[in-house]
Amino acid sequence: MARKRQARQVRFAGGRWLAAAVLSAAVGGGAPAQSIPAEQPSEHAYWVSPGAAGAAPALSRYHDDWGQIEVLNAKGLTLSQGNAFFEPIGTNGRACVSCHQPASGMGLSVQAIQRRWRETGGKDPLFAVIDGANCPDLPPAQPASHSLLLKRGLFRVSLPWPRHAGPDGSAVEPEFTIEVVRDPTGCNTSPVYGLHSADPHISVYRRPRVVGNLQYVAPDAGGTTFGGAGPFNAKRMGMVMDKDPRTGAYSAMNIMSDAREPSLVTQAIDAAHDHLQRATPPSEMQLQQIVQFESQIFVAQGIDKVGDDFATSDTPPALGARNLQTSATGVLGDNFGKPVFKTFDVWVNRSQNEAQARAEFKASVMRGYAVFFTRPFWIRDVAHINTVGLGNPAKRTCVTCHNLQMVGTDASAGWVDLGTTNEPWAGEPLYSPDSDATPDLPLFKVVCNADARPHPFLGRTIYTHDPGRALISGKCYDVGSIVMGQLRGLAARAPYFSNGSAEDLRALVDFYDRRFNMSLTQREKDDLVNFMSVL
Amino acid sequence: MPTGKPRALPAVMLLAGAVLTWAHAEEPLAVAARPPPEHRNFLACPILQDTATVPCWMADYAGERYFLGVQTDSGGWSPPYLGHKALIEGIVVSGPRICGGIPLTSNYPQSPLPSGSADGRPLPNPPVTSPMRELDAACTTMLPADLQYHIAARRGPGPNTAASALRPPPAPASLQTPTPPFRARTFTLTYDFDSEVAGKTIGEALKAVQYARAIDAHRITLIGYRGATLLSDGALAQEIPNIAALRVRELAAAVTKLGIPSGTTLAERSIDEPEPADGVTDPQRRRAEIIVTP
Repeated sequence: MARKRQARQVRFAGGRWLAAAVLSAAVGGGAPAQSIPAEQPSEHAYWVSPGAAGAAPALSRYHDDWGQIEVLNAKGLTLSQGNAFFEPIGTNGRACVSCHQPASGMGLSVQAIQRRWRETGGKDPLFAVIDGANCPDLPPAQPASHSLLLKRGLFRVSLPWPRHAGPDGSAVEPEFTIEVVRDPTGCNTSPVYGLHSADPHISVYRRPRVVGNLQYVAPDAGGTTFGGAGPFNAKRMGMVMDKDPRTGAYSAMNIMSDAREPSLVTQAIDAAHDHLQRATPPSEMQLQQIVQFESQIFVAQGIDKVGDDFATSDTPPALGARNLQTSATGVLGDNFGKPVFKTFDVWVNRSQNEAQARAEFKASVMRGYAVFFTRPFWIRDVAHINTVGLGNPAKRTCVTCHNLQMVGTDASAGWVDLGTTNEPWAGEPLYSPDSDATPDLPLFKVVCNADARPHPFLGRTIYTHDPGRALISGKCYDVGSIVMGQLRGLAARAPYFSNGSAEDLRALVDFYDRRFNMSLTQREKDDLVNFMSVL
Repeated sequence: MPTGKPRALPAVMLLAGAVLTWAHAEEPLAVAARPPPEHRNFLACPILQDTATVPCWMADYAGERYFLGVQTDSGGWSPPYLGHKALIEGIVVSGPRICGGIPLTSNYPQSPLPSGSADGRPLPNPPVTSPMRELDAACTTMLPADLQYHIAARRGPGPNTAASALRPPPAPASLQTPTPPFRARTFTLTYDFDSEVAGKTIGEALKAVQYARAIDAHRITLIGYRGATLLSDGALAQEIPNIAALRVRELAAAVTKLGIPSGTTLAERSIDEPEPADGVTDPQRRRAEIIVTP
């Protein structure tokens, strides 16, 4: 009875983060998500403010450009008040939810950022200058000061350089020097915040990652990782993986863009300090609340652009958040027997009786999956892919790298230099007196020491917008390597890549087509876009 | 890959005064010693020859084209890189050509599973193949698919099949708890030429640390060695001068992170004098040792 009452209230509440008034009788039971019907999303639910009264419902949906994204809260209703994920536990008014918004698929779309700017005049804590401005010394609440956030959804990540110790205290010997070639934000040459300041730091600019489906990537979220992780990095066997300091278990090192934190707990501590400007680590109870909530969230597209609802029983078994909740974790999907996004066969039969538009869309999605899974191209000059025993180039497919079943990350520690941040592949515009377009991001010249193992495909002098993993490891061969992100809930959180350089799904496909000379046809590009839109 | 102590080599193979570094390796120097006639040790740009399935990797030496192996799966033989020369250490296989090249093999197993077959014949165990550290812009040759070459690879260009998939290497089995009196044990790791990245033998580091814990070792000594290879043209290719130190540095980081006992002293030593070379057993002398002392 209690479950019925709870489900009804969630449905009536419109499937969004609920106002506290409707909750008094609903909380406490923790309704299983399966009992919650799909709801109509609200146009006004795009933003959850830190500290606001309310709760995360068991299932919520929000419009995106390709239908509706859904967020499944597997343990049922979660009151936001008193929960550290939602509370402004730092000093700048932000909470975890500030950058991991349900309507953005637990990431943060640039559309949501821009709308929040318009509605608050840039006063929302999201725009705190510590990292929501291009540099903290810029005047706040002026669009030019926050241009990278407003244009590309990028937050400033300030890291000490040179680095002499890893996150676990192990010694780091930097193998390269960094010179600032251009500094459009002014932060890397700032006498206060820059590389030559009294406390030298480098500023790079990155997108928030998805807080959802974490059982697939973070051991302390409760799932298993492929091969049990083990002590050695499968992609560089001499390297011992970082450990979760609390459990002593080896991490899959797939949580952050630069893998600098091995667990959700240490990530929460890091984020509370860097993004929430909290002086001391969160309390044990707060950390437990954060990790528990993060571990029970599943995110996926819930309804596609032609109206298919992925909560129905005849949905392909990889689609929708419920399937993410119930599928096995740690399965290598680069395999015909265990395909990365399982099978879409249920659509083959169903689409025969459907309206033409629906049938055509489904056919396109299935073709896109086939391109993703089986169409080979030359994977070339990718550090930590071509160097792991495949040779350079390797004749393979997308799933070679995006191989973890259900989420499409790399099952191994996933940092690779795809070229998104390193020249010559990074997509920053060129200067020209005839064009108004100018590069947004800083450019660094990295020069590796003579005895360092060089970057395998760029050598000892590398131009990069973000050295990525190398800022943590100090290794020349890691320059530009970024941990790949998961492929779920993409439609709700453009732009893509760690530096927001792909403004939409088509731009993402175009990058790969250009980077690997894939010679994709127009139809193949459309199919890939449609395929990714339903994930 | 087999490991072991370096054996004493005939004095003629020590090549005193006739050594070449890689900077000079392309200027063959006539010396008395050469590898056995069936051996092919040479430095060359790799060549990619595509087929209807996976690409073949080839290399040219002394006017002849050699077949090295086919693209397979991580965990197996590591094909070379375009953009880099590679050192090939192989032995000629008699029989038909593969992908147009004379096949080479090695006495050192390169993969836990066979790579597949060519024209119905099993592919040989590939030669030892070491990509050079530095870029070489001349190494760019990709030949389009030639459909006359019939390669049935264990792993095709698409996804794996369940039956053929390589699994991640299992964690090395825990050592049996040793009983007193304890003895010093040596664990040996081998490397690609000019590389400090321990590949298939990295499990020895874990074994060494486990042993050190089990006997509450007094000392762990890391010794890095610098190898050399006697090339088929009689020249001697030596690894970069500091490779022994780089191997020790990498290994020290690994064993420290694996967790050595609190009372154990970690000692490091690198031997920069190149190991002797015979053109046959050179890969096993590109090594580092972990000596665990009670």
